[in-house]
Amino acid sequence: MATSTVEQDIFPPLGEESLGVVHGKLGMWTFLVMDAMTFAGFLAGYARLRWGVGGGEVLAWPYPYDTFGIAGIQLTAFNTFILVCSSVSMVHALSESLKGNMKRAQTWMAATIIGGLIFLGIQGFEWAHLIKDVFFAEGLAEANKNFAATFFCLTGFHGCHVAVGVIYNLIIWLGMRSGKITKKNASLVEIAGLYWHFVDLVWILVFTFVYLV
Amino acid sequence: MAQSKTIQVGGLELNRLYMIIWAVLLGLTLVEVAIPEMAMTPNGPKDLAGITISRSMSISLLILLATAKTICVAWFYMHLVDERPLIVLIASAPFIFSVFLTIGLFPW
Repeated sequence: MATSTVEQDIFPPLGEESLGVVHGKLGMWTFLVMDAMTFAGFLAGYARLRWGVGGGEVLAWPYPYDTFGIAGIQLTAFNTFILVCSSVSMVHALSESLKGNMKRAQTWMAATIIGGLIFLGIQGFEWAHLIKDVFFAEGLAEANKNFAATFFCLTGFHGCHVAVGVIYNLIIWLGMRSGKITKKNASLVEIAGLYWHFVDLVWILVFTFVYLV
Repeated sequence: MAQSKTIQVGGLELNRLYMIIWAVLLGLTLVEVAIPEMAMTPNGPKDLAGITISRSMSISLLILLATAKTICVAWFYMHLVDERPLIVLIASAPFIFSVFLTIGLFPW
């Protein structure tokens, strides 16, 4: 386990504290736990349906690696790359906020927002391709129906989170630009960052279970 | 997560650590994408670079890599490394929930 030399006192608290943690952060973590359980339900439902196909014959399930065509694994892997990069830009935005370099923090936050928008654009393209050229063009077999239902629910629910994250980050960026968010209340950036990293974390699981397994 | 003149975690400057984790995440993603290429797919083995692995091995490796990536993001980017044990405990709750959910839903 890494040892931290971070000086806890310098971080400016935002609002009251409960159990030694500022309310905003505790609230965000509580929300993320609830949200993670929702995603766990979606993933478990996906897994259960997949296990159940063909009396336990896993391979009867449509295999994205072969069936997604142009919107295949490579494109989604690139989308994953974009989301990971936006996570890095988010931590840099927080790091610069903590140092008081708000101009640089703004730039990093703008990069995060652009990353989120690119992700949504690629996912929109993928959805359009799958709806027009794959699922409905060939007609839906029973396994395809279950796959489509779970696939669109999972990726759609995650996409909604990305869209909300982009709006959230945009509000933080505007706050930085107007001077309302500074080094003194950088915890606002940290809390927004928690949400954004959670979105990235969930995508890592969705990408693995839905596209690769 | 907090601030000091030179923010360090485990002796590493924080911005450098972020970039190392980024490189690790990208590396693991590339490996993840390569694994199905080597695995026995519904249409047979892809046989990447002469290597073929079984489907169960492929699934195990993919789950292992996804878990490693998830831990990297939660531990370093969500700063669980610096957090109080209470927050780490709260963050662990969904994982415990997921384990029970998976066991409960598995078609035994």
